This record gives sequence, C-alpha cells and structure tokens, in this order.
Amino acid sequence: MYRSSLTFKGGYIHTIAVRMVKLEIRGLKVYYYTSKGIVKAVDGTNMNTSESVGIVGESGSGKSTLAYAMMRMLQHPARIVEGGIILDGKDLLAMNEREFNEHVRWKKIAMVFQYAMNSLDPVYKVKDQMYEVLRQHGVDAIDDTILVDALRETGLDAGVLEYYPHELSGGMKQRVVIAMALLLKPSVLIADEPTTALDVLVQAQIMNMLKRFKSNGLMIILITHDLSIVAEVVDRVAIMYAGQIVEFNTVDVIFKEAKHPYTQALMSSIPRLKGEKRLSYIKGDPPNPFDYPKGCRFYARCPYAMDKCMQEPPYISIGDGYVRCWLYR
Amino acid sequence: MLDAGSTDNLLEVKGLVKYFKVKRSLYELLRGNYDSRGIVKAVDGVSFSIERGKTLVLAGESGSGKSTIARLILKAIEPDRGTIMFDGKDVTRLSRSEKWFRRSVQMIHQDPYSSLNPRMKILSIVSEPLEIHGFAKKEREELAFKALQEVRLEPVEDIAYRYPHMLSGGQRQRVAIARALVLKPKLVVADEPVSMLDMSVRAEILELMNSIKAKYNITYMYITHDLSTSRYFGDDIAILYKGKIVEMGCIDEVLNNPLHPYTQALIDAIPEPEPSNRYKEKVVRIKIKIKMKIENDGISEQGCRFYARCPYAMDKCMQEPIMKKAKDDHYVSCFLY
Repeated sequence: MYRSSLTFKGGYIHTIAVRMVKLEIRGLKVYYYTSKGIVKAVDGTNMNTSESVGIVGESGSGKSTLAYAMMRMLQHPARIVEGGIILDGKDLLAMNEREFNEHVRWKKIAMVFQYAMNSLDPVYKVKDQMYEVLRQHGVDAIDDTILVDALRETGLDAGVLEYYPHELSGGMKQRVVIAMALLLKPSVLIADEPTTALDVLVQAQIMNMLKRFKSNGLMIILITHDLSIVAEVVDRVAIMYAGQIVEFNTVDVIFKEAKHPYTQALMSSIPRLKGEKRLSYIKGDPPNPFDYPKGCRFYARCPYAMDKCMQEPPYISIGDGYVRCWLYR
Repeated sequence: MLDAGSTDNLLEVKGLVKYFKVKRSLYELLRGNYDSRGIVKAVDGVSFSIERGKTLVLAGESGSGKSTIARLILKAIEPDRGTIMFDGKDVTRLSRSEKWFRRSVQMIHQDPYSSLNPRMKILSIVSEPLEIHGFAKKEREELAFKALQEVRLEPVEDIAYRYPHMLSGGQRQRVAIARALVLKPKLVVADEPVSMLDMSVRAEILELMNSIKAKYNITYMYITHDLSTSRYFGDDIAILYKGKIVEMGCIDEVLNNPLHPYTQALIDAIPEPEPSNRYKEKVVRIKIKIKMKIENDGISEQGCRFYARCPYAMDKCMQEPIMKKAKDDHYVSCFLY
C-alpha cells in the first residue's frame, strides 16, 4: 500500500495522510528498573484523541518516555509494565516486534527526536542518510523523487541532498531530520522539543511548517516544556506531572480556564511580551521519582492542598477532557 | 545608554572590534596569511555603556556576536580595536596580574550541566574563586556558606557537601550564581542563564538574580536570544545583528515600539501563549535563504548588514547606517529613520 503511493510523482503535499487517526493511551505504566530502585517514569496515563496533542511537563515528568513507548523504542532497564497504546483500534503494544516494524514504525508513527539535528552522521551526505531510512524499512526507491518530495515538504530544495550535515545551518538540519521522519508518509508525527536549540526566527518557520502539516491531516504530538509553542501549534494539551497526566483538554480550555493548580501555576510562569511585568513560579521541587508520594503528587507544592489530597485524585470530566484534582469533586 | 563619560556608568565600551580568522587550509595556515573570505567579523564596531546598578540586555540570534562581546568584556580574549572602560579605568589592555578587575567582573554561564566541575563538591566550587584571590581557609568557608544561603539552596549544610550531579538544573544554576557572587563583583555577565532550564524554574532564577541585584547593587549584562524573558529582567536592551548593534534603548520602549526591521521581525516571531494563533501562520518578515550555501549567510559586505534580508531594503542601504536618536532612550541604526 505504501509502496504504490511512494512512486507517485509530484504534489507530495496531497499524499500525506488525510485520513483521521485515533490514538488512545490506556493506563500506560513504564518503569525503569535501575540498580537504585524503580523509577515510575510513566505511571498510569490515559489519553484519547484524534487531534494534534501537545504533551507539556517539566524535565523528568515522563513526557519523552511516553513518546519512546509509542515508538516502542524503550530499552533495558525500561519496561512497559501495563497498559495499551491503541492506534486506529490496534494495540501497538500487543504486536510482535516484526509486525510493529513492518507496519507501524515510521510508516504510521514517525518521530523527530530531541537534538535529532545533531545526530546526523557527519561523514555521510544527506542523501545517503535519507536512503538509509528507506532501506531500513524495506522500500526500494527508483530515484530520488521520494527524498526530494520530502525535502520540499519542509521547504528545502533538492540540492541539499548532496550536502554534508556540517554544510547546513541548524534550521536546515532540523528540516532534514523532519523530512526523514516524513519519508514514509506517517499519519502521526511525534516531535520531541523540535525547536529548543533554534533561534526564534527559525523556530517560527518550523512551527509554521508543523501547522501546515497539521492542516493537511497529520496528527502532531508535540513534546515540549514551552507552553507558548503548544498554543501556536496543537489543538489539545496534556499536562504531565511526575509521570501522570494531571489535566487533558483542548487548548482553549487549558489556556483560558485551566483547572489543575499545577496547570494554573505553569500558565502564570510563561513570560509574555505584553502585559503585567510579574512572573510567578512554582515553589519547591518535583517529587523524587524513586518514591512518589501516595495520593496527589502535586500535594507538597499545591496552594490548595487539603487532607483529601492524600488519596489518589479522581478523574473529573471537563468537557471533552479531564482533570485529576480533588478540588472539583 | 550612549552618553559616554557619565560617572554613573560602570562599563563603557567604544568602537569594539573583534575579527576571527578562519583557517581554511593547511597551506594558508603555514603561509600565515588569510584571504578576506576567511575572516569572521564577530564584533564590528560596538559601543554601549551600562549605568551602575542597571541591567543591559544584549539580544540577538546565534552568530550575532553576543557571546564574543561577553568574552571581550571579561577579558578572556583581546579586542582588535576599541576601548573598554570599567569603573572609570581603561581596561582594554590589562596585564594578567591585575586581579582587581577579575574580582569585579564575574560570569554566569549558560549550561549549568557543564559549567560545574563534576569532581568537586559544591562547597569547593563556590570557594574556589576565594582561594584564587587569597582568602584564608576559615573565611573562605564562611563566605561560601553565606553565598549558598543567599541563593536559597536549602538545606545549605547538606547541599554544600554534595556533587553537582546530585542537583537539579535549577539548583546547579543557583550554585553557579553563588560562585559568581562570592567575590562581591560589581558587574556580572550572564550568558543565557535560564535557557537550559524548565519554564517553571526560569522565573525563579530570574527573580533570585533580581533580588540579589537590588541587595548588592550589582550591574548585569544579560545575554539572551529570548526577548520575552529579558523583559522581566532588563532595564535597557541592545539588539545585535551580525556583530553590530542595530537598535538600543529602554527595554519597554524597544519591545513595544520596535523601529529596526530586524527587531520587528524578531518580535513577530516570538510564540505567544494565545490559542487562537494556531489558526494562522506566524509572519516571518525577513527573507530567508535556505537554498543558499551558508558561505556568506546573507550578510552584506558593505552598508547595512541586514540589507539582503530586509523587506524595506533601498539603494541607500548600501552605505553604512549610523546610530541615530529616534526618541529619548531609543536609538536605531537604519536609513528608514
């Protein structure tokens, strides 16, 4: 199915998946079994979406681990303890490795890794690195058309194929890496901090590009700690704290009437170009991942903490999404 | 900012120039001379001054020369031309033995994960500057503990004997701030001190730096590419583009009313936490040449450096623009004005 669409010439933009996909994460738990103890990096997350999502959280909140679980790229000492990742009705975690590699990885879900632009091999031309992706996934390309189409999609021209990574600027390298993720026309693109190391002007262009992909039907899963980028690109937001999604809703709800005290605190720590000159911050540190407290994990830093919060917070439905907080029971 | 000679100025920089030679081949290296293509004009005639107790933000993209300016002011490298006046004294040429200057100027680096020696305990890291400047052992410990308390690293007794890898990013950056403060400097150069930190921690570190500034009357030079956080921290701002200052002035004035096309483009490109933005594309008001090889990077050799990317470029722009006063506390270097 993919092979036939890949030989299609020109007009790449129309060939990106236009069909809607449904992604569900059901009670996912990913633990790292280290010599010092168990790190509950992702500890019971639930999410159900057919729109682009931004996964936001501090470092250590488990957002990258969640992404790696979706790509099934976790390695020892990480283990998926329980739960499911269901894409279009199929549980990705129930598949065997071969099946996943042949049908899903890079073909349905592709990823732009954090600092990926620095992972380009300095001794190979862009062309060879892109061909390697095709080879790895068993696609024989007749000529460079597929590569050129993918590059065009990211605003680069065919000339880039003959360059070595060091000849490209940071923004161009990031585009190459995104083009490599798009090679097999996935329907879900996970982007882990895609603009972190880039200048604002380049960042704006990359965000515009992601927006364009999104309107062409690509589901984007944007992992970042920067809420302003989320507001610019995706339609839904999952706020992660200490391995759990504490609030999940549409961007409008999250930005205008955030419910969870952690989300509210994050919102008031965003620097803005206009308006009041006061930044607030969240006092204290996130809990120790080796030993998460019982009940709500935000308890120790929460301005509204009550006795009830010592129990596991419930899922409270808010519109299309949910919040996990005792305040709303 | 441009009034040179005022006694209120802690730092005055005039016509600072630093070119780097790029060694292109072994032949050139051996021959010892380079053709002009092999020169990077990292800092090309930069003048500014910082008033005592104020914060100047140096903002620009990577490659604009902001870190080179920091290194020049710290005297880590020597300028090719220009003068640096610090506290009324000319420090452009300084002998290595003049430690008073080293004591008065300190730096906070960008990456707290690599700026702290992993083999040293926090206490030794913070007291090392004191050792270099010849403090007695007892005094060193006392001052180091005080500095750690100052940056609110609690519990101090515990943290002082830990290693950097046992601390979070925010805690490490506080150690770096304590190390910079322990000598009671007059000027602190902070090179992107919060860019490696989480959003929620950034505000905390900036607030800490601000409270210390007020307490000890410290002057900051804050280097960043992030205009939205600089607004919470700076008094004045200078926008750099390829080694030149294109616009400077009071920070609110420059950010609310940007005059130079480059500043305008930068401000437009900043993501705003407004969900309705996702329905429209960001306006990127400059011409970007992604097709071009990076050889000359769109820098015009003559005249305005922004010429090749400017949406308003005119013939006149082939001449060198000069810094003009647009308003009180607002200067711009552009032929449009």
